[in-house]
Amino acid sequence: MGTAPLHKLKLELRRGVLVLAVLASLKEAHYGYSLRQQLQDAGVDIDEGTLYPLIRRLAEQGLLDSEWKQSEGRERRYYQLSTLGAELLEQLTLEWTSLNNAIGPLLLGNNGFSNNDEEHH
Amino acid sequence: MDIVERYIAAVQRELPEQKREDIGRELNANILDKIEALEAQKGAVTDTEVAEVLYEMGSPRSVALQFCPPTPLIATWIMPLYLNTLYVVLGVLFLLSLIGVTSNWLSGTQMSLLLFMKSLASEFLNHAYFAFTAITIGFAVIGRKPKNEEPQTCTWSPEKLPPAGKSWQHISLQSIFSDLATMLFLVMLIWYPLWQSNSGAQSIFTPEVLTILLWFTPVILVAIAHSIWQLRVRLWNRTMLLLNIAVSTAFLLVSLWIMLNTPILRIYSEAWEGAVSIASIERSIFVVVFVVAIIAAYEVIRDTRRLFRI
Repeated sequence: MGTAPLHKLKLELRRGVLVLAVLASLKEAHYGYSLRQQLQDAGVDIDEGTLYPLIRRLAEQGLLDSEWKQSEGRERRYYQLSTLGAELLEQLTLEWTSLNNAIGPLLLGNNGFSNNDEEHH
Repeated sequence: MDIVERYIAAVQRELPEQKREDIGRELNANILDKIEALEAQKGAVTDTEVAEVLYEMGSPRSVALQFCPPTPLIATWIMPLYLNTLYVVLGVLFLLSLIGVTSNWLSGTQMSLLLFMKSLASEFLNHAYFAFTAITIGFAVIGRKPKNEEPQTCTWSPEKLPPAGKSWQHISLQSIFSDLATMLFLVMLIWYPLWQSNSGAQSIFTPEVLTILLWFTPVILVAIAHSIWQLRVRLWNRTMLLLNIAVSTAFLLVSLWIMLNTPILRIYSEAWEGAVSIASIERSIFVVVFVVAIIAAYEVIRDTRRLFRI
């Protein structure tokens, strides 16, 4: 497969997962840069151009609360999961776990069909 | 830092008025955080290094687009209806323009085909600009409704869906309107000089050809009615195919008869004097009628084959 389709598919795959990662990371308050650092430390590399607009959108949807605070001599906007965001995160986590449990075996090729085939033979 | 201020101001210029201050403020905080992290790594940073940081973030326009992605003028959920409306309205406008311009052309003293084409294009475009703008603005306004207010237009049931059929069974609007335009043009070409003989309109056909075309008019009217029927049904069925075979066969026979009875048109030699020879005009007209015959023959064969496959 060429790099262009792979890049596009990777972006599509990451899009939904990044929302989950951001929501999960914002159980504690973070400002934009510190959130990016936290995600990078956890192994989730996310571009600034994607992350900053994403947290603003999530805040506009009411999933995050935001507040300007003075910190280290200058202002920063801190984001944290709202009550609605926390409820949604819980549901999304269940969905993620269920998908992961279903897709994991598929990716490993252990989906049950091979066993059935063997039984038929 | 002047360069950061200039960058943020450039981003803000690309943003909607109500979001400029808030996004600018947040962007400033993010950039300063990034510079601070760089200073923690390397010590004091130069203007060149700050410029590199900004360059990595992207052009002001691309950053602004990331924060405020452009919304399409016509919302996606309403796009199919918008395109359908455009096709139908523009198709009807083309037919109306054709009727108007053909009547002017036939009653005019100059019988220039080029002038006719130019008038038709100009008349159609004059109406089309207005229609296109009005429809687009209308749909843009409708599409601005919040998503939860979208009308539930999907009142359908699987039982009422038309048969699946073959892909060729679907009749495109473009095909219907081009057939309608051709038939209306032909009717006007044949009948207008007779209706409006006192306005000085003269038939372009020779008397022999005109006589056969007058007798042929009911077939053209059937073809027009057939096109209107197609507008309602939009799916070929056996009856429609049989009707189309009959109409195409009639067109084929009349075209062949006309080709054997040249000259076809009354050519006013003084109008064409010095421009083109009469022989070449007659040859061109013969070719046009020959093409019509070929198309009609093709449609007869195509529809007969379809009839057996349906």
